[in-house]
Amino acid sequence: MKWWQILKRELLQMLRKDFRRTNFIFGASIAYLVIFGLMYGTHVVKDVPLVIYDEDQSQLSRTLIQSFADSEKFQIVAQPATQEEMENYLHEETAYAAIHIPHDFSRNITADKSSPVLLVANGANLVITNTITTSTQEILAAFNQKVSAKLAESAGLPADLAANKTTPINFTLRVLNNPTLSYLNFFVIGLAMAAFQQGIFLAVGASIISEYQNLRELAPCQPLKVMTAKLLPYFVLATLSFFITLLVSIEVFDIPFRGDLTSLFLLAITFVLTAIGFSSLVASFCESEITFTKLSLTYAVPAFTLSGYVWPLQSMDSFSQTIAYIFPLFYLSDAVRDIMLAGHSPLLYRNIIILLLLGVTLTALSTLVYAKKRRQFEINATQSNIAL
Amino acid sequence: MFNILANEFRSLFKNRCSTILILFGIPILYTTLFGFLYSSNVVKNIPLAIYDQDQTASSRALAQAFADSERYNIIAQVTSQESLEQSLANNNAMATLVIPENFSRDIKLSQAANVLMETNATNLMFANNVISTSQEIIQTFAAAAGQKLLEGVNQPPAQALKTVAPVRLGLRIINNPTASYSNFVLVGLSVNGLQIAMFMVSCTLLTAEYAHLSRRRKLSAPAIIIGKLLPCWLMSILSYLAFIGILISCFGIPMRGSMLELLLIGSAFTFAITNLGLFISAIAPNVLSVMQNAAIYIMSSFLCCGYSWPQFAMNSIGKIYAATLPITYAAITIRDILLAAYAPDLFRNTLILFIFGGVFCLLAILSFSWRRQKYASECQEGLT
Repeated sequence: MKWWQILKRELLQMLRKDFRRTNFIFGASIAYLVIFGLMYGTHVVKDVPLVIYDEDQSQLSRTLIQSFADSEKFQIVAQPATQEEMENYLHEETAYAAIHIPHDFSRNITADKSSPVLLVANGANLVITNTITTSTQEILAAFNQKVSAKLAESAGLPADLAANKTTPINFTLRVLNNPTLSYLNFFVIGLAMAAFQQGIFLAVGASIISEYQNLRELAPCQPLKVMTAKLLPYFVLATLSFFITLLVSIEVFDIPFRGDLTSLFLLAITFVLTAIGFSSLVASFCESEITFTKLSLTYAVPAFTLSGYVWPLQSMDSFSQTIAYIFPLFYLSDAVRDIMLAGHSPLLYRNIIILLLLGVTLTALSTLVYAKKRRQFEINATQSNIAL
Repeated sequence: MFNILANEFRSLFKNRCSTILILFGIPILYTTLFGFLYSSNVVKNIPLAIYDQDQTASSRALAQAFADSERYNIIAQVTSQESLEQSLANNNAMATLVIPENFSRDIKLSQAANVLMETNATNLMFANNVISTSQEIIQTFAAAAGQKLLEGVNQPPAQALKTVAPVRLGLRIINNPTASYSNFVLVGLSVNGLQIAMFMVSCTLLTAEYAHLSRRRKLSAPAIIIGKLLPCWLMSILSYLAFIGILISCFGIPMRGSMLELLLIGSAFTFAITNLGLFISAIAPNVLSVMQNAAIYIMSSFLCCGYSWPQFAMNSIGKIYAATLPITYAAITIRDILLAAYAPDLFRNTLILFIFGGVFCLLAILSFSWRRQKYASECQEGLT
C-alpha cells in the first residue's frame, strides 16, 4: 500500500467507520469551552451574602453600612441584633461574611479614639474569602479617608490640607492584562486546552490500538510510512481544532485576543505533535482501548492541576515542579493564556523547542515500538506457517 | 444471594486486582500528588520589581515594608521605566512598584504623594494576592506617615494616629484561619478522584453479565443488581475513608467534625455514584463509548459543583447543571465537616444522595430485567 492510500484509509476510518475519533478531536475542547464559558459567565464573584451587626446604630455606622450596601461585591442579607444571631448566620452559611460594628463606634471616632470594626469571613472557600477581604479593605480605606479628613478639619486644619495630611499617599493599583479580574478569562482557556489534549489522546489511542489489533493488514508496508500516514490526519485536524476552539472563545465568550497567530501556530503544531507522540506511545503498550481510556481519564486531572496554570510553579515543591516539567500541557496552556491576554509569552520559544524535541522523540519511539511489534508478529506468522 | 456477593467480591480482586487497584489507587494517588503540590499552602514570594526614583529614607522604608512581607520577594531594584516594564513583560516580576521622584518631599509638604503598583493578572492567583497585600502594606505605611504629619501640627502622637486611621479593621477568618489553599481545595480534588475511580469501575459492572445472560437465568434482576452493588459500594466507602485518613494524617487537613457525619455523607455519595454507574452499565453495554462520552460529565463536574466557583455567582444555567451533579451535595459538605465541624445541609444532602442512588438503582434493575427478558424471548424464537 502506498503512503497516500494508508492516509486515505485512515481518513475513511475517522470519518465513516469510527466517527468517534473526529468527535474527540473537535468535540472535547469545544464542549469544555461551552460548559465553563457558561459556568464562569458572570466573570467575577459578586453579591457575597453579608450580615452586619450594628451595635452602634449611629449616623456614622449607617454611613459605613451604606458603603457595603453600595458595593456590588456584597449583598446584605440580614442585620442581626445580637452577636449569637450573627454567628448563627455564618454557621448556617446563610452569610459568608459578617461585619460587627461595636456600640461605641461613633463615639470613639468623634472622641479621637480609634474604633475597631470586626470582619469575620468564612475561609473554607478561598475564592469567596479573597473577594471579601479585598473589597472590605477597599471600602474601609475609603471610609477612613473621608472620616479622618473631617476629624483633622474639626481639629482646626484647613480642608485641603486636612485631606492631604490624613491621606499622605495616593495609591494607584493598575491591573494589567485582565483588568476586571475576570475568572472566565483566567480559567477557561486552560480547561479547554486540557480537554483538547484528552481529545487527541482518545482519538489517537483508538486509531493505534485498532491498528495493533489488525497488524496483518498493513504488514507489507514500512513502519515509518504507516505511522506517518496514520498520524498525519490527526495532526492536521487537531491543529485545525485548536484554532476553532480559540475562535469560539474569542467570538462567543469574548476572551480577548492580543497576540499574534504565528506564535500560536508554532505552539499549537508542536504541542499537537507531542500529544500525538505521547498517546501513540502509551497506546502501543495498552492491551485494549478500555485500558487506554482509563489511563487517559486518570491522567486528565493531574495534567491540568500540575500544569502551573492555576497554582504557580514558584509555589510548588521540587517534586511537583519535576512532574510539571514532564507534562506537555505545562508548556502549552500558560503560554496560550499569556498570548491571548498579554499579547506575548516570555518563554514561548523555549516551550516550542521543548515541545518539538518531546514530540519528535515520542513519535519516533512509538514508531520503533510499532516496528518491533510488527517484526514479532511476522516471526510468529512465519512460525505458524511452518508449523502448518 | 450470598453466592453472588461472594462471587462479586472475588471478581473485584481478579485481573491482577485491577478493579481494587482503580478504586483505591486513583483517590490515594490524587490525594498524595495534590497534597505535595499545595504543600506550601499560600502563594508566597511573589516576584516584585521596585523602581525607586526618590531614593530617600521614606522611599526606602516603603520598599523595606514590601521586603519584610513574606508575600513578596524583591527580585530587582531597577533604574529605568523600560527595565521595569521589561521585567513585567518577561514574567520575571509579577508585580512592580514605582515610587516617584518627589515622594518624600510631597509627603513632608502634605501634597499627597503618588505610589503606583502594577500587577500581571493573567493568573489571578498572583493578582488577588497582590491586590489585598499591597493595600494592607501601603495603608499601614500611610497611617504612620500621616501620624507624623499631624504630630507636626501639634497633635499628640496617639491622637494623631487615631485621627489618621479612625477605624481599625480586625479580620478574623473562621474555619481556615491561615487561608490555606490545601485546606480549601485538597478535599474536593480527592473526592473528585474517588468519583472518577468509582465511575470507571461501576459503569463496567454489568458488562460481564450481559456477555453471559444465560448464566444466572434463575436469579431475579434485583438480586443480581444488589449483588453487584454491595461489594463495589462497600469498597468505595473504604477507599473514601482511606483518603480522608491520608488527608488528615499526612497533609494536615484539620478534622473538626464527627467521624460519623463524615461516614454518613461518604456512604450517601458513594451509593449515588455506584448506582449511577450501574444504571449506565445497564442501559449501555458498550462500555467504551459510555466511558468516553460520560467522561465530559464526570470530569467537568468538580469545577461545576460550587466547590470553588460559588453557586451564588453562577447564572441560572450553571445553577441547574450544578443541581444535577451528585458531587454538589457531597464535596462542600465533606469540607465543611472537616474544616468547620458542622455542615448546614448534611442531612438534606445525605437524603438527596440516597434518593438519587435509589432511583438509579431502581432504573438499573428495570432496564436490566427488560434486556434480560428481551434476550430470553429472542432465545425462545431462535429455538422455535
